[in-house]
Amino acid sequence: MRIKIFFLLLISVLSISSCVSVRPFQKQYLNDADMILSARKAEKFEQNFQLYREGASGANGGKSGGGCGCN
Amino acid sequence: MFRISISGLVFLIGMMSGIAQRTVRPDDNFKTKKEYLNPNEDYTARTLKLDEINFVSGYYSQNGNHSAVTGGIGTEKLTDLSNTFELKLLKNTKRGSTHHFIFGMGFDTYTSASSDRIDTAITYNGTNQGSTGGQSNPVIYPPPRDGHHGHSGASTAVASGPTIIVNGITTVTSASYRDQRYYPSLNWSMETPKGLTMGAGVSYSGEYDYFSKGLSFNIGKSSKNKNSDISLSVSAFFDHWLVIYPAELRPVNYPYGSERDKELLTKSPRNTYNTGLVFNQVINKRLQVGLMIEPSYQEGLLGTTYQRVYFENGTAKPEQMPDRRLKLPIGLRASWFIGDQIVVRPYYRYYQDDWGLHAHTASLEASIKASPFVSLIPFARYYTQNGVPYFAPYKMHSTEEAFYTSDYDLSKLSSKSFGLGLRMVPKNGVMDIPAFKSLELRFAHYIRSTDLKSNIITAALTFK
Repeated sequence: MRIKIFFLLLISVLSISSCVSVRPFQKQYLNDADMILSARKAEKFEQNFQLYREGASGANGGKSGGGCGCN
Repeated sequence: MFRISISGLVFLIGMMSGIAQRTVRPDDNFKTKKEYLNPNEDYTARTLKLDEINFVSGYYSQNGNHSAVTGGIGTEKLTDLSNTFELKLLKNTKRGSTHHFIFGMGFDTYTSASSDRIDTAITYNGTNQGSTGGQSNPVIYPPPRDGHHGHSGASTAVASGPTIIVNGITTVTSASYRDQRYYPSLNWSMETPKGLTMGAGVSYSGEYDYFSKGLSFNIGKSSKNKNSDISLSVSAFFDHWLVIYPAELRPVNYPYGSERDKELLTKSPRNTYNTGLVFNQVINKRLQVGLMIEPSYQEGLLGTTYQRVYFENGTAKPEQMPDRRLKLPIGLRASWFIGDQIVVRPYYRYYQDDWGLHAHTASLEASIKASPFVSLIPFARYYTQNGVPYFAPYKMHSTEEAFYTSDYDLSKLSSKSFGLGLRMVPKNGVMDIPAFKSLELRFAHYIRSTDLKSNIITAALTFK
């Protein structure tokens, strides 16, 4: 059930390419530094330790390999 | 009348062409027609220049009581001090493309109480004893290591702290239960005026017993109106470890991993192949979303040989895990500007792999703009996983199992994390230093359902 909900969400995201066209001069909010869609630089180490202390990894812009992390 | 009309027309054309005329500059004769007609193009090929310098420092501290090195019991106390430096160089070309060259260097120093328990450290007159007081003639097993003690072969035999008994094994908390990790990297990326992006990078990571070489490539394309972009990345990490066993489980005549015999240790590979597909879409003037799919495949030594597993019958073996793992994480992120002062950034990830692990991650972060230059950033994160079937706690494994671990990182668990960040981008630079463009401080507290707690504090500085 959870997977179905997730894929419904996924399809919704993929189908929104017909959203409102925003022109460059209308992007003052979108260009704000806090609006980045990737992880912040200061989140980097947190993500590394989450990778080590939890079984899941990836799809968060964080570390995906290299280095042991086996402590 | 005709003459007046002609004069009027010539005057009008003259006026219009005057308005439309561009300022003629001395070097205009040297431009191509295409360059002349496109005023936005940067005509001059620039030399490589310094664009940005980033420093990120973090301190992490954790404590718990389910160490995998001692079979799912014992301290998990660990600290890590990380420092990374990034030098970003920029070059614009004649055709309007932008190239970035990024040199990165990272250096971590960590201490791990559990890694210190890989070796049974001291037997006194051939008999394990549980206190430091009153012993004489200690027989050190394994023999003392000279110089550096890496984290894995790390436990020193020179006692400087209290002796501890874990499952009847005497170990010593020593001053040298630490290791360093260094990780340089070099990346190149470019972006064309038509929205095509490309990049490549190499990286290296070295520890006492673990070495990694990485390669990465990526390509992406923005839509014409720059409201959507898609990118594909591939990366590979070719790692190898030096295989170290706990002292009492070490095969006869197998090296224990000191500086003296480190070269004789078996080398075992671990390779990781990642692909990533990222799709970002602007929804409206205040909202954008991103979708990330990052399948990953690992092969090689995926278990940690110095982690002990104790079975129901009291025997022990080094951890044993499958030698392949296929992971599929899918993440969804959004950023939404509400009003004029708040940016909300929700994130969700679903993860599953062929070891049978399923996990959900959800986080929410809000940037509250106290002023145009200062943001307060409270955040919270929740994570849950079902655990792998190879996991069982201390002395709960059956000897008939093919794969076994008592590493609580792979058990059924949930975790909560919350904290606060502060981001400053003053107009005149941080502390009125014009080159000091931004400062971000961040503190997070982490609680795991298996009685592990940690704190992390990070500072990120940007100079331009």
